[in-house]
Amino acid sequence: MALQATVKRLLVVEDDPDQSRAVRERLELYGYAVSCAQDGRIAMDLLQAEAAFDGVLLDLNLPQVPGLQLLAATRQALPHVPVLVMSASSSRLQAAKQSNLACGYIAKPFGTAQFKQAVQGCFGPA
Amino acid sequence: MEDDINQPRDEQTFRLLFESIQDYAIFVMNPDGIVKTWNPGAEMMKGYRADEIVGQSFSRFYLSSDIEAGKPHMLLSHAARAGRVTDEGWRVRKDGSHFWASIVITALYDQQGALTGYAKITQDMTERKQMEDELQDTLFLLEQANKKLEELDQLKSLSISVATHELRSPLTAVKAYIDNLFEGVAGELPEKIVHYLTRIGYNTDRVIRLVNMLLDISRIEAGHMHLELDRVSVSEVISDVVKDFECMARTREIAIRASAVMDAPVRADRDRVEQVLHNLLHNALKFTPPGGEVVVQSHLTENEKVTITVTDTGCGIPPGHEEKVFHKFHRAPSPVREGAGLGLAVTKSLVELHGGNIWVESEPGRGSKFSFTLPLVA
Repeated sequence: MALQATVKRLLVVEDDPDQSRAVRERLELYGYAVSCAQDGRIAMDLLQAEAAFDGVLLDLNLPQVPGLQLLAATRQALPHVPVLVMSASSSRLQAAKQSNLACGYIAKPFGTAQFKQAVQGCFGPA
Repeated sequence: MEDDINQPRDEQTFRLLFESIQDYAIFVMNPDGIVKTWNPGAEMMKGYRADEIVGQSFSRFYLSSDIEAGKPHMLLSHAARAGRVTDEGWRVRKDGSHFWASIVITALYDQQGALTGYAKITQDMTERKQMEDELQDTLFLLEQANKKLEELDQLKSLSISVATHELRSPLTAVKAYIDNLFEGVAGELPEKIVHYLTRIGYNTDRVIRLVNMLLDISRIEAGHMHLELDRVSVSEVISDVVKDFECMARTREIAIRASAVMDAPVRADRDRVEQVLHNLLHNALKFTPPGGEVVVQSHLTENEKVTITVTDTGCGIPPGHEEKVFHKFHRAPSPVREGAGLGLAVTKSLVELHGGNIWVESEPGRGSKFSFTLPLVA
């Protein structure tokens, strides 16, 4: 029980179900507990309702609430929660980097080593 | 006395001159614009004989719209004030046809300074006007065509950008699922499945590289490739990239090493320098047979730049293709047919965006040496 309590909880915000599932599976393999939100509004609801996430993996191309807006809102509402930004759009990734609000930025598609390094760099070991 | 003796002859000479000029219409008007004299040039240009026009107002040479606007008398008033006036515009011949005239009206004064009339010289510039108009029309058409091309170019860049983004999303999922299987999400995999997954993974990476290169090309061509310039250690980048290729080199039984790497800070975008080296090392390994060698070196050059070289013992580049290998979609004849011919074009553009140069020296059958320069930190 004590071990379970220390497992870190991550929220994956990704609208593409395949990418969301692949990221969730990988994170679970690393030992994290994972929840998923397929749009920005659900993500905000989850983050506000369950203020128990240790980190957020955020895709920038989202319906409802744009990723960059969600990034800013998350950092404002939950400044202690680190956010790792993922995007297939170089321009969006560049804009996110310029905002300097996230703890890491990875361009899609990413390799295993790159992903693991970014996740552990942002959230620490599971 | 001499002047007086010569005066009649001068007048005669002047009259002869006046009457022999056919390219210019020259005539004199009184202060109200009534024609007083008429030369053969005026007759040829405007179609009136002297007896038809002497005594008439010069305003009849003007378009009715110009007459309504008061243009003829405005020109006379201006000439009276300033001494002379020039103008260009459409004028009307006796037969109603139009010609483009370039005119000078000069005010004439008596010895007391009172206005006695005007001298008017007209040149028919219709041909020049038509040429200018045609040139204007052609320029307009060229501008329109250029605008259209620019729009198409922007649309092409946007289409490639959208298409590549849309391709990246499913590719991310495919790559992530393959990686997850290798990581053990579905437990231990049978050897055959590992083999097939390896091939799927290898080919997925090829598509990803192609998509990334297409996006880079479209960005470079649209002028949207921005560098994040920073102080970058050449030796660190070389060491990191060589490490990335150690596994691939082992698999292909090729020796890869960084040799005589000089550590100098350059002003560059680290990710893009890595990409340049990645492209050059990937090519070097691709074209080098088993048992060969790939070496990365760097040295300072006189013009405050660092030169980085990637030397291989591969099949080399046939003579005449050393420049062309950097062109888009160009593939020099070689035993290896992999690749779209975009990698070196992107590489060249990235080096040049840094203010550097890239070139290749090659000996067919013995290998190639690609060199590129980067500016040192000032």
